[in-house]
Amino acid sequence: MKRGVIGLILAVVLTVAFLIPFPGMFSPSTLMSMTDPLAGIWGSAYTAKYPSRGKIVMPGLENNVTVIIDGYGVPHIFAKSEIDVAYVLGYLHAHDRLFQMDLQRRLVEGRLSEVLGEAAYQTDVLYRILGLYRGAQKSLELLENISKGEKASHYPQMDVTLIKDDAKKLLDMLDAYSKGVNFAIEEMEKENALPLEFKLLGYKPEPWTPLNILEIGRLISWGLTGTFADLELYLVYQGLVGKYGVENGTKLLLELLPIDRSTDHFIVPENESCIHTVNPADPSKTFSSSTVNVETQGINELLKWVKETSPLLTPIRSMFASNNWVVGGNLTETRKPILCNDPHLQLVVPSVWYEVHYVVKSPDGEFINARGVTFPGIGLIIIGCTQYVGWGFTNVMADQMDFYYYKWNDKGQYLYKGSWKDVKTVNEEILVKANNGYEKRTITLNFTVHGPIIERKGTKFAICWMGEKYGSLESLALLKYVHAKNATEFLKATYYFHTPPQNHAFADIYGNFGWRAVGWYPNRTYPNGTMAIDPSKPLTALTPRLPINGSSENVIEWNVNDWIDANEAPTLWNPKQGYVVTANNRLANKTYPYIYDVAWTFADYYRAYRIDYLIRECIKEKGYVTIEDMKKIQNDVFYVPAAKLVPEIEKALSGVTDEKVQEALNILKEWNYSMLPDLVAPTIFAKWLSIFKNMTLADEFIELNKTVSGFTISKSELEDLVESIPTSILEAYVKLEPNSHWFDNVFTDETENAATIIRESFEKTIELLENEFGEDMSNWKFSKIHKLHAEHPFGSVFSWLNYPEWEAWGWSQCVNNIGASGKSGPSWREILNFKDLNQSLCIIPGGQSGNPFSEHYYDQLRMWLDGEYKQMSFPASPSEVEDVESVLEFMPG
Amino acid sequence: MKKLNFIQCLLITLVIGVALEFTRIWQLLVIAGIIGGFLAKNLKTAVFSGFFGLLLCRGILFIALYLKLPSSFAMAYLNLSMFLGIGLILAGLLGLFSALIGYFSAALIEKQ
Repeated sequence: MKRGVIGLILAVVLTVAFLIPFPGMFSPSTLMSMTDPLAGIWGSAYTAKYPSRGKIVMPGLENNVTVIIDGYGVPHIFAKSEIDVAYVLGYLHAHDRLFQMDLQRRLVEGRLSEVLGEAAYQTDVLYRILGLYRGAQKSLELLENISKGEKASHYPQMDVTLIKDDAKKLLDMLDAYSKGVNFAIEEMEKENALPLEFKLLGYKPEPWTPLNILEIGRLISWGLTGTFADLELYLVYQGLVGKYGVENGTKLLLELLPIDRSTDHFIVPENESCIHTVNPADPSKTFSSSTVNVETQGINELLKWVKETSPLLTPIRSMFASNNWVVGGNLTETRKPILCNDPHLQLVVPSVWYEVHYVVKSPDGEFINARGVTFPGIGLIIIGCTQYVGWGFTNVMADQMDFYYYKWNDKGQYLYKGSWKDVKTVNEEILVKANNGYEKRTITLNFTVHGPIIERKGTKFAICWMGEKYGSLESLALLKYVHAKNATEFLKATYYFHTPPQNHAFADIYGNFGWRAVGWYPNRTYPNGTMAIDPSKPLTALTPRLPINGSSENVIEWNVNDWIDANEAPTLWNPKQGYVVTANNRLANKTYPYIYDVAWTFADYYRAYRIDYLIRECIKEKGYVTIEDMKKIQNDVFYVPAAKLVPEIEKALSGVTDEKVQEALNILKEWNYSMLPDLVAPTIFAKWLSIFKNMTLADEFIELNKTVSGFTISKSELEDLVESIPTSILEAYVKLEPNSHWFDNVFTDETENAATIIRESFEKTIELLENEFGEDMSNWKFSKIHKLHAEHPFGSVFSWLNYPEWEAWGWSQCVNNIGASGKSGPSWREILNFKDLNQSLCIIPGGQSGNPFSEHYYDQLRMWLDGEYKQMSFPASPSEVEDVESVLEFMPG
Repeated sequence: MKKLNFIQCLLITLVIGVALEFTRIWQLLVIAGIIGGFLAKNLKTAVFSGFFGLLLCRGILFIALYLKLPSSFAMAYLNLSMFLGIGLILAGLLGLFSALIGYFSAALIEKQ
């Protein structure tokens, strides 16, 4: 009896211990829930595939909507209104990408630690300071105000009456899209089919709102314009000024990062002028750096913190690359334009983009047939094409972010225009997931007139970033793009695209084509209204690239009454050259008066040069380009830096007799400069270039560490700095100034030149590669150092969520720019054929679905890697869709 | 009350367990274990039928799921084998503990 009672009690205790949910991912109860075959992490397998035929009753729809899912999981939506399209697209996005959407929303809102705990807390603090969500809120308010006919604050020149109805419609679409997402969330919750990531983390998504859509938009803007490069540059500047004085320090800085580079390759060809309506620049005051006086330790700490807390969760990050080009009908086989685009972003899991095609046939006769890519969370096509107009983006590399520093008094006030001002403070709460629920932490955000303050070790800067400071209307522009009936209307619509500034290559079915560096650029002026940047005085271009003295009586600020708007941005319309190429390269020369206001830091010229060269070769050979040519160009892996520098290596090594060096040199000599996985030469050259850059530049900064009091640059900052110096600048030094002081190693008695450093770095390269891969050079294949690394946010814990690590070809600065880390590359390739849009092509590096149980998790990845494409058709009715996987009928409830 | 052997108890636990799985409330699996244990002729039978009853219950559902879902699922499924193993063992342990409740309850009732 006693034994039985004890046994019963023990059994009950053990069973109850199983049933009670203890905190933590690995309690028996949590694990039982997660591993439940029907309701656990496998539950999301049920929704991995849409039913072959399904009927979904959706309250709020205006009319029936038919959705055909094709063999790649791409939805083709046929509806009678754009509102219904938005509704259904919200549903589809949530079905395929809900966790990605939620994670990005949490990142923007600074609420990651609610689900990830302490590990994400600092990230949340950073994002609260940056205030992407505040910018989104301002955008929503701006849209609401315009829809009521009120003036657009901060954009006084904008005639809002022209867009009042569009704003109303857009707000309705945002609302419909959110409802569609929420309908899907409810459905998935009912079915226990929420994405497995929610089950692993043990939380449920909150409802989606129109604000969330604009928040994801802000994340894109941050990824493409948000940078702390001003502070990094300032750090370097401090060191140089500390050792050499202001004048010589500035000179040295400009040697490293020249405002005008001898290798510049402009988007606007030499014999063309870009259309613009701007007035010539006013004479301005010259750049003055004498007021610069900030200790570097605080900047070091600040940059370190930003680097550590800038998470792996920023997929929309420009890796200083993207290509687009458009060739006019005079130079194409089809006699109609061909437009190509491949924006280079981080390669992540799931893919950054979600492809969609939709057709709207409204009772009032409106007809839209649009296809392209969306960001999950935003129900609008961002890059794509309609039956009339197509477009593609590359990053302008615009400067929409400035840092301000101030004089502070003991009361914590800052000096602004001669008087002491209190900072504005806002307290915010961050919930941090803890063992027993949440820990509530309050943070205080401080603002000056210029923006939120970021502070470390007493060093404070106010961040003036377009995406936080002002609302913007790019979502409205995107809506208008699909309504444009020709390139002229498209160009007009670009006026509303504020941020992030993008090089829009565009074309229409009537044969018009062109480019505009679309965006609104801050016009920086002195208090008396004169412009701070003057193209005739290139040094003034440095002004917005270094922190600005916010306490100066002559403080330089953004003039919101006089933006450099999209209509003043450099534009090419049916250029004489017959084509336009952009690859984040320099926009125009100094004849464009706002060139330094629009942007300052451009990518190396190599990709633009190579694309331009290949197009010209095709034209020389045949008189025109074909779709096949375009495919070859997008997948081109010719490495221009190698073509430029291998002959220099040959020259520098001419007297070297070492067998190993000669063997490696022979491999380079026989190389056709293609970055292909089976070759050895790419490994040697890539490694050499990195070592060469380091040996050329690092010594000067290590010396500053030792000789300038108060200046420190850490090893990782130094590596970043060396990496950030454009290769083309070193190429120019090697060829034009081989005896430049930069080649001299400051720690040796001898005076080195380019040839010495090339030789020494080459010998070191051989030594390092031998250590890493052995003496047999045939084992040094490029595939050993270059593989795809597309990671899921949980990929470090659950590697099976990552995409396969296949061998990659291409390299940074190739047209097929798969970055050295294998973590960035062409995130979408489109080739639009305006002769017959149904013959257009596209591909994404991954798949449509974020569900690892889906056939479309990465079904396009192999094709993408192999340079293959899928058809990008524009069926006008459901019966025209080929390769049908599912047919879904959405009906009003 | 007639007591059942291992196979009989196993089948009872299994069938009830599968039926209860469809409620999607895994906590109810305890009922299957308790019934199986309650009817077991001895402690050993209760322990093994409870453990293997619920382990097989989940195992069968995993296999059904594996066969039902698209081919790509197989890969993700295999990738989740760690969870699969944990899920099976935990289900078995739950079956074991709940069968013990059933067995000792039956023993106490009989004695009274």
